[in-house]
Amino acid sequence: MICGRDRIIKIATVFLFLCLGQISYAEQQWPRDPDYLFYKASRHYEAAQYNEAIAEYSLLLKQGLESGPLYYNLGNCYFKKGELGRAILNYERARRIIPSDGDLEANYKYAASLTQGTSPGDAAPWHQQILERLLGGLSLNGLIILLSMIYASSMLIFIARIYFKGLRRYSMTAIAILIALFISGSLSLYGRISAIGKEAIAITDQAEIKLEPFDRAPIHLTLYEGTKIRILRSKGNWVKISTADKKVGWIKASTIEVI
Amino acid sequence: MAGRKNLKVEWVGHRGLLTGLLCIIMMVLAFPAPSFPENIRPPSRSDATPHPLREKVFLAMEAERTNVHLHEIVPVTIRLFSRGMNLKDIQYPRLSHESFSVQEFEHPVEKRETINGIVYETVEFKTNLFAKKTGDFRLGPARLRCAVWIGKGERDRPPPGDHDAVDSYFGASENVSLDLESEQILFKVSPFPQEGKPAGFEGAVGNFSFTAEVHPKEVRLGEPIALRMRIQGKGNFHTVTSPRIEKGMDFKTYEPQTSEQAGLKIYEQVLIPRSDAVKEVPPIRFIFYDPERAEYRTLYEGPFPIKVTRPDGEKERKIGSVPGPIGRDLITIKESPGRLRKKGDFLYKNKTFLLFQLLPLLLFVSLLFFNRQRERLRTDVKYAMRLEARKGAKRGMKELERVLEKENPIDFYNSLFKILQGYLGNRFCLSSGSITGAVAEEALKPKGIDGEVLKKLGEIFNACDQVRYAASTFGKKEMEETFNRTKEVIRYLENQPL
Repeated sequence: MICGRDRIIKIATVFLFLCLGQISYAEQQWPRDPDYLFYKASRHYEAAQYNEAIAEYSLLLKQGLESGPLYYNLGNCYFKKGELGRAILNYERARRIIPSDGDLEANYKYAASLTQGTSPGDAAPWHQQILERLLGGLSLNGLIILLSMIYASSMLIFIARIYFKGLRRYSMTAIAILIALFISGSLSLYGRISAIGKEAIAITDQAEIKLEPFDRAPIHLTLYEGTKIRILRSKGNWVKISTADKKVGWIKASTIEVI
Repeated sequence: MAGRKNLKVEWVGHRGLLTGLLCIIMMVLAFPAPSFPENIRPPSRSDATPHPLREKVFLAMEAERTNVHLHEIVPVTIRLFSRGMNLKDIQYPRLSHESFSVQEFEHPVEKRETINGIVYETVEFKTNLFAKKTGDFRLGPARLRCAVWIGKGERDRPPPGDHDAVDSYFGASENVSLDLESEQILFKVSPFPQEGKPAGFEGAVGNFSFTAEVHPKEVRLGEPIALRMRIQGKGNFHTVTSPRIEKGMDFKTYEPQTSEQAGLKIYEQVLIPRSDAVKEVPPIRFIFYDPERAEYRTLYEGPFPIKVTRPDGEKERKIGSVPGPIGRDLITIKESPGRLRKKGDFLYKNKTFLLFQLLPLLLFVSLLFFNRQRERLRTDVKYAMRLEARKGAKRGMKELERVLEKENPIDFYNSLFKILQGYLGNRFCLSSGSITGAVAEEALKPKGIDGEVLKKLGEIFNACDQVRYAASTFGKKEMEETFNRTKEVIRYLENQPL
């Protein structure tokens, strides 16, 4: 009888410790919970505490996480703080994930309209702009899934051609259309993937673009905050860039941030 | 939140640590009511022992009304009464209120009140609350903590129960922590009347005024109009929601921005006309329930005439389907983080996804091959027979190996003969039943088959004939030799491009 009671007490003690451990673990994890951090940051934003909101949102980024709304909200915070360059930078990052979001597009265009340089939307070449008009509503992953579906559909039609001879007359048209879509999508995909890590936004106002990568080199152009540029190569603290109107020069790496 | 703020927090001990700890004593005092007004009297407990302190310090709670509607704001006052006491460290009251939402207490007010000819010093705490659900609910008791110096006169009289030891410990005066408790208040909370309840009523309760204005009144298509709505008055602003635009989808709207002050709530709504045919912002209505009049009231503002012009050279376009520039301010933040993913988690880097892309191609290639094979088997007899020869030989040699284990020469050579007939018939498109050693040699010689192989084949056929027709006896060794020779011949013939 006593042994049985002892066993119950032991089990209860172990259970209690496990519960306490769980509670303690949950308490430790709670401040790192992404939804909680996001909620906390949003409350800071509503209270016009933009620095605090940015700090909370950045904690999520430090955890290696990202999402369209997260970058969008960060963009809003920087905009409200008066940092137009970083606002556009975060809107650009959000556009890679949620390009069809109406609110994002409105805020992005509004922020872009306040920049003094070339509008970020004009940076792409004409053929890329056409493709962007067709496929711009899709995120990078969305585009990959679309291409995968086009490819799978083509294969299905090819398979159907084997077994249903009646389809052969019409299937070539469908396959031709699908191949054209696939090629267009692939070009767009190639453009987007090749832009990763090579596009940047000026985050300081009136940064000097120089002809050569050193301080005393002559100034070539002025880069306004929020302007989108393409990185060609880097050398030490300097980055060789190309502007939307194909002008090339060197700029300090600290004045831009990669999208 | 009630009771969260402390008026003053300080250490009350004065005779070292032990004394200090002993001095912080919780005294839950219950008072018999002498003769106070109905709603201002000390709480009573039937088992309470009289104590001089109880007549000198107590807590009372009163509500402006107790028959209320859901969400209706009710002012509640909690008063700390004391007479000739030196109260210290008075904290804000705490209030048990499961079914109520209680606002923060206002700054306390100190007063003097005379009740039944006795002058009391009071500290008055005011707050507002509203019921969150309908039914009969008890509010309270309110609890308040404070400290008091008890003089020698009071000390000499024995306090109740547990405090005897404390009092006897001290020699002169003592600083005692008091936990005071008021009586509960019973509330009867009624639901909103169904009669006359307008559609669109969202639970606002009180007595409000409503004004609205739009600015600017002339815009170009795509530009925003700010609609500013002010709700002012007495009531529960927690349940006040943004007034509704009466009709129409002529505008693209955004979530209104809200700001609130005491007795005033302001909504600022951005409206973007969807076309230049829009001539006015339609009437806006605000509905609330007025508990004093016991009726629903609907207040209207508008319509507001506006003028929308199309920018020069621009054709008609729909606002809303394509987001346009909003104008003067940002659209507010997102409330949900959406689908959080690892940074740079793109599908083109995902090996599983990329491998998965091979599946349709593999399926197509497999089906194509399978179909072609099927077609060839159907149309190319020679090919089909050759395949059958290979399969049949493989199957037959396995069977022959089993027969060999039984060491029965007749069965072995009979089986071997049949296998050779079947194989050579299919392999060289001959009639299987007519194949003998001589026939085989005659058919294969022109095809350039090695003479050694033909010789071996002839020997195999001879061995078969000897056992089948001449009753010759062969041992296991001979059978194994024949078996191996047959395998060599078949392997050689399979490798010939005939």
